Amino acid sequence: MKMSPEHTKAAAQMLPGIITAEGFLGDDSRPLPDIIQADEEQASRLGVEWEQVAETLHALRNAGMEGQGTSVEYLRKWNVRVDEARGVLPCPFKDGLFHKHTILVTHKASGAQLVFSELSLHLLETHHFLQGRGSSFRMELAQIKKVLEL
Amino acid sequence: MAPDISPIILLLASIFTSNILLANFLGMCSFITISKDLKSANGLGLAVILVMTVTTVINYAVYNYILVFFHIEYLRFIVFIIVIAAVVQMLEMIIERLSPALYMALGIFLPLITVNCAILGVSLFMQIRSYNFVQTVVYGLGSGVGWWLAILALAAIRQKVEKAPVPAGLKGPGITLIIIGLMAMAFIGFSGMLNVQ
Amino acid sequence: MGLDFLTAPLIVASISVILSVIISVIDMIVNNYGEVKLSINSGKKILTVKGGSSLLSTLGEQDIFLPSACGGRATCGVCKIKVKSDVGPHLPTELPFISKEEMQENIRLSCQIKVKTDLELEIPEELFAIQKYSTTVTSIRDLTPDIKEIKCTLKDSQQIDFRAGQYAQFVVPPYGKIKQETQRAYSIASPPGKKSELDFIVRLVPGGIATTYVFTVLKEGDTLDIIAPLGDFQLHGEHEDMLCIAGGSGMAPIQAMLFDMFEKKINGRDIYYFFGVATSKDMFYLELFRDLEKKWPVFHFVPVIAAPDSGSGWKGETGLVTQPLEKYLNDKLPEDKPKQGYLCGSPGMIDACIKVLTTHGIAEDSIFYDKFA
Repeated sequence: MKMSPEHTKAAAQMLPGIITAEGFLGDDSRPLPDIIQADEEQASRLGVEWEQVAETLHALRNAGMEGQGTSVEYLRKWNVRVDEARGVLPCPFKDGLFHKHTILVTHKASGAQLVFSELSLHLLETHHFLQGRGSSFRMELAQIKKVLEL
Repeated sequence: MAPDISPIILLLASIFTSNILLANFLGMCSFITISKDLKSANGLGLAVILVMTVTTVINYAVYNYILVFFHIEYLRFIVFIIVIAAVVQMLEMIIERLSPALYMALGIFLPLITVNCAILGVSLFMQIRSYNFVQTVVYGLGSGVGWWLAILALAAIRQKVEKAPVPAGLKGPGITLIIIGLMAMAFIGFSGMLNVQ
Repeated sequence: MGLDFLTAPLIVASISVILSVIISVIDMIVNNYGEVKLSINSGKKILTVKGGSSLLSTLGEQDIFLPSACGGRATCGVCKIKVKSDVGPHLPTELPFISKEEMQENIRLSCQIKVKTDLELEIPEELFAIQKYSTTVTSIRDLTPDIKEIKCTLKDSQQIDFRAGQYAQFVVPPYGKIKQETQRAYSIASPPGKKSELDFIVRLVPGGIATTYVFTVLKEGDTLDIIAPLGDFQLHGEHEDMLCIAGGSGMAPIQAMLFDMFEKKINGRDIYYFFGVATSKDMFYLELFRDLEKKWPVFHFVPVIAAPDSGSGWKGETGLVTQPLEKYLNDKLPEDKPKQGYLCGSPGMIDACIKVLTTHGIAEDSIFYDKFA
């Protein structure tokens, strides 16, 4: 099934070497709209709400920024560390530029971890895109649910 | 033998009284999905006019000068579809070069036109009714315009219905099908008024 | 009878073939822009080029290098050029970087303009000094688990002139699954005095195109092409005290400036260098700078580790780099001497330091930092 031009252009930007070395699609052979739709369906099955996840991740990121590279405790439930690199990355959907911040969240009670970046947070929030299967930066909804206690 | 119908009559008939959408019920899927938004409905309608006219004329030539000549009229279904797919592809490339803005505005609708059954339907009607060249052009153009007007009307009606208290189970496709049914019933009143064959 | 049954498939096949040929022809016509003339600076330079690529890469192929910290992805905004001919309205990808005044002067991002017709361009003269240099990598050394030091020598005894604080763009060739070339900016860490040697400090960015190349593919002895020199980050003034603050790989331009000043025996200003890292294993060049401090009386080195390892016996400053900065501004630095700030690091660190500096009376136009962060 052919994709709309927006999705086709975004998928082209998601290939390895265009924005990041690995790209955003991993070894997923599904077309981009299918990946997004499958994750949206799984989110409703798991009872995970996109806005709530985004809000919590934003809060964790802001708390982590205070540490300037060191680990910070947030609400006594999580340890957050934000690593910053110079430069910006464009969103594949061409709707924004994002600093190269990598945020590592550790759920203190279970030890479960979640890694995300400013860009992946935007992709989650605005496009409901969690990256293709096989991508090392893909965020699994089950893991999100576990780490963020949703 | 081509039927004895004046092009003007045929034009009016294909736009109004034998509207391909509301009288023949062809081209339903994009009719239902794209009529949610007036602007996209307009864009799609205009694209359909262009594709319908061009493909009907090309199919006229291919049918009468190739298929008939080689006695393989039974292959018209396959050949018509091949022509439609190719024409849409060419149109996509040309539009992308000439007007990137229009290309982005039409989005996925342009390739979606290939699977619009109204496009194939119009070519087949042209063949079944043995239209001559002028009638073919007029019929293709008129059907396209009729399709465009119908989707504009539906999109406008749906905009109003948005604000009406529709029961939850009927919202979306449900009420849309009812609206289309009502529009079609209104158009039944026109049937037979003008000859198309 | 006979071969009649073949007619049908043959006709259908021929129709398909004819249509495919027409599609290919249209594709070639539609995507072929032919040869195009670029007239630069009112005809001072005229180039005949093949159309179809971006203005940035087209000029690059003609050895005219516009700065591009991001390699043409519309994320750095430094590839600006004045296009006098009409190339349509500004694209959404250009808008974040073009101010209203620049829009009226027809300033565009050269990486977003496709070369389709003859164009009249205006390029500042100093940009013609930027060149592509081929270098040999002479040393790759680990400084910390995620930072490497790269030393290169220019090939064929070439020399390069630049100001301390400027950066170079690494040309990263296709590698692994990556099919096209990219460019990324790295500040030059060595002083300009070493005319044919260049040092760089590269930090591994997870998933980064260039850093993955440097950390996994590049080896000593390999060729590394660079485009240099670029950037406006440099020394200003003569008598003001300098407060240099850097974190991690932000060390590079500051290091270049400091050694440049040391070589030129600039002793008229006090220099404080606050270098902040997160943990003990992230600290590097301690000996190098402590040594410099001994040899150069006006230079004061303040390394800061946010969370030193408990057994390491670290006696230096701890906490975030802004904390000793504040301490020095409050207690150790004379209040009446004019001061400047030189910052290099992540946006968060830069913002935090600017706040501290301005609260202590240092004007914003006396604070300098590399903008491509």
